[in-house]
Amino acid sequence: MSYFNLNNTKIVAVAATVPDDVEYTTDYAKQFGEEHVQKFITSTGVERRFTAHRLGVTSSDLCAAAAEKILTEFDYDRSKIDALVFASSSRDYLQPVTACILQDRLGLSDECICYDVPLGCSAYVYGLEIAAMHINSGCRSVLLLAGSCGDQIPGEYVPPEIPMLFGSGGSATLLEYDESAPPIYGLLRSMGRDFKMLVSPYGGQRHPFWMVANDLGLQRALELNNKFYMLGMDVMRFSLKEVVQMIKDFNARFQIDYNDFDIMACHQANKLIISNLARKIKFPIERIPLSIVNYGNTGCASVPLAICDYYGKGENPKSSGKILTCGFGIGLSLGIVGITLDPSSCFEVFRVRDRYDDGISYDEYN
Amino acid sequence: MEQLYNILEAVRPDVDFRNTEGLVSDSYIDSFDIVTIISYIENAYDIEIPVEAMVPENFDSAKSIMKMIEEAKG
Repeated sequence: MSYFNLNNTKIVAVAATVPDDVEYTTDYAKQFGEEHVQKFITSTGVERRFTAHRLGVTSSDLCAAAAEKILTEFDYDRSKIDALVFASSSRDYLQPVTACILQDRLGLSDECICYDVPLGCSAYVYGLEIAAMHINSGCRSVLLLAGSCGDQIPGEYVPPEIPMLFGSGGSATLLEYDESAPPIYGLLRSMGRDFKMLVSPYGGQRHPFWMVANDLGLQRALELNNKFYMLGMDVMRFSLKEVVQMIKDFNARFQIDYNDFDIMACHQANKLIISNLARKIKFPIERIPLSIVNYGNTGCASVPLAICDYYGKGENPKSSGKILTCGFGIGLSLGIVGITLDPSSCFEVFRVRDRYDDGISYDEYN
Repeated sequence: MEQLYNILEAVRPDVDFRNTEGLVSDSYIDSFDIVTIISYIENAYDIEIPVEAMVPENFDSAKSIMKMIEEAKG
């Protein structure tokens, strides 16, 4: 059983970012047909999303900007940050971990623990548990950075599969030791037996590029490299069975009363899954923010982005800040975590244009 | 059956559910349609379709959908 209930961890602030490049779903009407696009909008909810590839912005760029926002606005002592967790599968390099690059960019101390947690849509809820564990094992502050970006494809290239669903997003959540903080509690699960439901099979060590090229030719290997596969019907079943069961188990264990929570910040898989999930767990749909409408499915960033989209504009002044966070997806991996934060410490989602210059050149690395 | 046809036609007015089989296998409807149909059916018939029943063969024709509804009624 992977229930947890951790004290002493205060969520200081949450910030979320998107690339400064918007695409509207209706832009694809000419390519996919008006009827298909309208049906897509009705089913998924996605009316627009922000994409990174034309700017060349990466997930770490988006997360770094969100972290800088928090650290600057709070004039936070960076030497107190004893751990940085980059919860994302959108890494800068195959090696090293992106967390170390972010440590350098953010000017954190050499005493800072840095590592990646390359999960998908459950990365943020897992990250909350990991951050709270670090706090309870002696870290003074932890930066949890969660973000996702699509493939860095050529500017005008439109991939043939589900190009309208996924948006790019980044986030930063700062947590610190505080004995008076309300608990962070939840339930995490994994179902590796169903990994083929959501998978990028080619390009890693199991099916390396050269092997695919050898078997299928160079052109086909290029087409398949890093290609993402999603079995839509199976994902729907997983969401409405396993995620529902997890939430029911969590509710029973912690005696949850939905009335105590402002919102459920749910992974923004698509509108249809969210509305059916809400119906099955009997959570009021009007209290599950649908940030997917304006940002698409932003993977690892979708939960913190939903939080900032809800609180960041300051339109909910009577909020308690008590929320349920729920993530589920690739792995398969899923989790639900109850947290309390100060709504006034959630920044409004903002846009990022700057791509980090890492100094790597073809001349030097050839 | 007429109630079911009305539901199906509300979800996908462009599909002839009365005369078409192979709804899923011939790609007339997709997973988004299926989940939408399930939520309509559950409300209209006051039943809960088990997630295990969310398989393509149960949605391949109006008849198979009706059979699934009858089974869910118990």
